[in-house]
Amino acid sequence: MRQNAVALSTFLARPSSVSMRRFALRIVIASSALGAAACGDPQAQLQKQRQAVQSCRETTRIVAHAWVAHEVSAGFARVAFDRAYQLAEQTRHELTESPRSLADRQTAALTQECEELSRLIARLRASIDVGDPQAAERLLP
Amino acid sequence: MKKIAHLVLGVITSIGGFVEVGSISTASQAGAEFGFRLLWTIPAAAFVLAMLVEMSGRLSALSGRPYAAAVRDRFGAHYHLTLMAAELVLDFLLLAAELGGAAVAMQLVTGIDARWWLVPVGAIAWTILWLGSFSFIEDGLGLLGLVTLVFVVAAWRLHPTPSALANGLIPSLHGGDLARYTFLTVSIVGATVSPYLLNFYGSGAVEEKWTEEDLWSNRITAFVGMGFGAVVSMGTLVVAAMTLAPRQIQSDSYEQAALMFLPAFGRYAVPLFAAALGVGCLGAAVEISLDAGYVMAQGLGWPWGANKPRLETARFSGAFTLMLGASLLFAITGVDPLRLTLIAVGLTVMLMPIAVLPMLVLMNDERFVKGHRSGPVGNAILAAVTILGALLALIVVPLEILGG
Repeated sequence: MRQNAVALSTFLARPSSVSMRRFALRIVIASSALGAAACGDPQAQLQKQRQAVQSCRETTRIVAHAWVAHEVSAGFARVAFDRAYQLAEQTRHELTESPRSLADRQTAALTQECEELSRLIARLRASIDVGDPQAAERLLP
Repeated sequence: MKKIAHLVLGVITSIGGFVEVGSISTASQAGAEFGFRLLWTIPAAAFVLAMLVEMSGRLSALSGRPYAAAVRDRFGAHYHLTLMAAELVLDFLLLAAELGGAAVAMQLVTGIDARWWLVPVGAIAWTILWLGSFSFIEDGLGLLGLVTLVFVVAAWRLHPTPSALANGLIPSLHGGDLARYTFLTVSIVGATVSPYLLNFYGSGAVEEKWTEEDLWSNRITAFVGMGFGAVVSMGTLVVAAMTLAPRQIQSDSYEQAALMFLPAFGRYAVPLFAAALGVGCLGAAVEISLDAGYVMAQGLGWPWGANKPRLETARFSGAFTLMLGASLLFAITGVDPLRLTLIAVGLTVMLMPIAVLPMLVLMNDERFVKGHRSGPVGNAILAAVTILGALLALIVVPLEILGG
């Protein structure tokens, strides 16, 4: 990591012989390399996806409780569930993009969590459609 | 007495006009992901904005020319075209995000899909632009924007500890995702220091015929108004830090952001959040559209002015109408307003040197500002912040946009 940082700073140091245009090109290359490096770290990526799933789960729980307690309208709860469902499915899609990622045990477990969350959201959404707060309450952990 | 009343109104409307889609999105994301740790960025960015806005007002009051016209006169048509293109691209993206934000606010209240609200929101914005004078637009929307004080009220009701607030005002890189931390820092700067505000404010000074005598009220309006405006934005971050962060809820959508008001306001949470978001976005949408008209008209030498009959300034009116229509069409394609906001504010910081560095030159040219030149310390701070911000943005923004 430290070696990479040193290499990057050497690459970005601008000697007087290097023109501004070349220097700007170096910055663009360095930023692309940093981006590629960050995107390529599977553990960091998995951590971000885990946080996204946790955020969706907690959002779903709070919205459902608030709807049951008449703190938010059915219209808002519906919209919030639809958005949470989208985010959960988007995360699941990212997790299952390649067969190699699914072979990883942690990724497979998170994918399953995503599926369960999507199913929970769909059932909560259905209980709002029929106006049944008790059903929603039973579904909540 | 009249001048004092005008000054107070200017300060109040600055507060009301401070919060819009960019500040709500970035402050709520920062609070939800990093707690109080990014609080310092808001007053720092607001200070930079206040310096720039004060300069813009001073330039207009002393030279009788708004920023865009002064750049054309000082740097020539070629540079002006570069600045104009950059500003119009940013205006276009930000305007689409503001329209989207106002439509989402309606969706939060009614449950009806935001896309159905885009055209009515655009129509309201255009009607205000077509019928309103400059003071109606600035003061009316600014006063209406005081509803955004609800963020401060929510923060006050949640009782944040003074030590947590004080710690948030000290920059800290401890723990967490450094790239994300830097990206949100850059985004908060971009959301606060919007280039459209510079030209809009300066154009307003010309519309209201400011002179050298108005320099003191310009300074007070810029620093006090933006200072209190920053408090509203800090309120957003504090509320998100106290309600979303402990539950690990990220502010990836406005529906999630709206939940931050639940502990403070209960059943009024969503309507209050929607009102603040909707009014803030509508006000900003009107101002950005008007700014696009100003930039084009001033740069190309067309007659302009929100106080003149619209048919007398047909090309100016056509320019803001065109910008509003184009952004509306873009928003209708279904682009996510939150994501668009983050792209727009990131681009703002990247392009900031193009917009800000000419200001520093103008503020040291006696042909424009007579004896009221800027001091070397202020110039150095602005130049350093602008260049550093742009370099950081160049590195972290592509990284985040590509979803790294």
